[in-house]
Amino acid sequence: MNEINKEISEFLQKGRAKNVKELVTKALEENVDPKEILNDGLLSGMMIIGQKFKNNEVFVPEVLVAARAMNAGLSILEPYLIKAGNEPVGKAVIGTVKGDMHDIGKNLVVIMLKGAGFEVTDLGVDVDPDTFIDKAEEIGADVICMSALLTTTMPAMKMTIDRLKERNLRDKYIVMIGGAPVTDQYAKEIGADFYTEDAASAAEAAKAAVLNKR
Amino acid sequence: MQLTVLQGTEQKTVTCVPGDTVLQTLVKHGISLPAACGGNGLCGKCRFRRIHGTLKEPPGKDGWYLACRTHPLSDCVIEIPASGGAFAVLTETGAQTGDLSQAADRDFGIAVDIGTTTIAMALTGRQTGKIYRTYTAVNSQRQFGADVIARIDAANKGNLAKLQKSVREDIERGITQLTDNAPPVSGVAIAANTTMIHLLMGYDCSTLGVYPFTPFTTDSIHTDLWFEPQIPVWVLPSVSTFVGADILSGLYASDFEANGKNCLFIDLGTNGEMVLGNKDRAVCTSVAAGPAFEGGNITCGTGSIDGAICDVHMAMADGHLQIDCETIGHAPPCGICGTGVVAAVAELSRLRLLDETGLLDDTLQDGVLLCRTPDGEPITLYQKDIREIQLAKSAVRAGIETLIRAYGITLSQIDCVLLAGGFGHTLSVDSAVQIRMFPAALAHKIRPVGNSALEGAIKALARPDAQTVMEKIKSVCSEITLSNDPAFQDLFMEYIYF
Repeated sequence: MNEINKEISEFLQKGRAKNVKELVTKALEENVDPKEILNDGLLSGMMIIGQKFKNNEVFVPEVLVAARAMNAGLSILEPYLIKAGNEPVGKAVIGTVKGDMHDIGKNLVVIMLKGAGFEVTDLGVDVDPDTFIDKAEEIGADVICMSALLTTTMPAMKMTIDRLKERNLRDKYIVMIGGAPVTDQYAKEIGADFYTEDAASAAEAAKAAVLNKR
Repeated sequence: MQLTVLQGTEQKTVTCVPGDTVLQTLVKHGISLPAACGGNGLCGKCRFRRIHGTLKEPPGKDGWYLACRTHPLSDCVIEIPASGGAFAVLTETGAQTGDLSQAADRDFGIAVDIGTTTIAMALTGRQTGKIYRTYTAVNSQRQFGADVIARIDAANKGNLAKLQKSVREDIERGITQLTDNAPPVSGVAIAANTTMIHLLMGYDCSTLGVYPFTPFTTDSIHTDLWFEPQIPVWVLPSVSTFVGADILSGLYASDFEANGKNCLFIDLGTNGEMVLGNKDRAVCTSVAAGPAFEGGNITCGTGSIDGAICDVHMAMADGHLQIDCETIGHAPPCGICGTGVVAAVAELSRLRLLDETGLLDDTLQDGVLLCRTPDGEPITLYQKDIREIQLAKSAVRAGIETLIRAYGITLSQIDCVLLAGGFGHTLSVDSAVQIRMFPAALAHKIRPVGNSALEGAIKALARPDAQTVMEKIKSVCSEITLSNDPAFQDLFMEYIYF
């Protein structure tokens, strides 16, 4: 692996956004392939942090600062990825459902989706069912991702899916859900396509599902 | 179907409705098992062993079944852990106690504190404000879930009438027992969190569980006792959905209205409600602390019951870690309660066996064996448990810091800190400061006040001006909403560390 990508990965794991930005710029000046910087630098670092989080070795703040560093690197890299003719894997619309204001987990999924090569439209929190659908229609999305942190707001996920059905659009989109009280069983109950436990798995599942659908 | 339950030396046979889980059956018959996650199969606390009979689901790898996930298919005999699901209920208050036969009171009343988990009640004198009898019980609504969100969810799914009936029966039982062979009572005062009040009154809960969390009402409610209509009931007023009548009642008990001094009032449980201010102006908020302080989501966690580890001391001697555990009632250890976890984490942090991010030392990667039960089962504190405490303590501290900023004073201008509730009653202040849950500068000002919600209800029955005073406190309290406050989130991240 390119030495500079390894450094990017290490700084990202430490959450050093400034260093990550500088190194991504430097790597681009040295004509390192943008896709390599993404995969071997940013994503590889984020994956290591994700794994350590699963093993309880690092905790929420470390994941968040790493994610911020990843975002910083991505902001530099994105134009080059597009210029290199790198078609996005797909387009995703994401938000926290109606009645729910929690966004830490949702923001992590946004970053991991971007890392996985998605063009992401983040609708924020307290998102109405029809807003999800209207935005997905507008940008030609492949995936709709919904997050909920309260059992009392989970029904809003079902409302979005029901609205999709009413509007005869259900089969057009891959619907993914997540959040602390959400389970795989609940995803099946309400007719969502996927539930994943964490942000990294969400991005992987979204990518696999989109590629599979084509 | 019959379900026979063995617990220690006791045995009880109950009827099981087909389709009900073991947990639902046990709760319906007043046998409590811990179920911190509300029966969602997540916490692993409601475990039992099968002696005989057919069960629909298989056991876990360790041979234990989860009561919330298992349905009996025939008559069954099961065994539940001896230390099962008892809950400690705090009735200790600042109010005086007295002997009913020598009471100087002309009138008597019943004070009630409906908690999400437990209910505490007192027979009290309306002239002296003395407590003559107390009564405690587990809130039977637990069969619908452990926390307020689960209850709201159940109410919204058509169970509101059942939830109302359940808590009304709990209170009726308490009143019947408290008034047995006692002079008649002339009034009932009820303190509770806003959700419990909604469920007691049968109010619509559909806006209670979703942003912006609007309550049906926060006003005082004057009604009649449903089974003795001649007895008036006063449900005390609340500030908001998150800061309920239990907190307002606690403030009233603490003479908040009479005080020009700046006082920080904190009630720690699944939610940490806090109020900072004085008689003229106050700010309040509520943070989500999760069930860790009550022993929930902790691998070997338990409520504050006899045998629960409540304090831990550690020392390094010749390169070995020595651990001394103290249990409630000095009973044989059966698990660890919230204050025990806080103490253990504080000791690990003090000895630098925990780094500032909360990561256990390499030598302790398999967990910290605190002690063993009489059966030889290990009581271990794991990395995951430390993470739970980190989330809880950081939410509390970030809430305190946010209130101090919003109120616009410095730590040194806070004159007293009142800790309400069972967890605050037994919490070691030194441990709490060590893990950065409370600022060190406040340590010597912290005072536990016991069940101040119950005390406020007692005082409300004894003072003719109670309503005026409580309305005054309500009017000076302004609530701060923390969801999506970026400053709160930054503080939360900062105080996750040790």
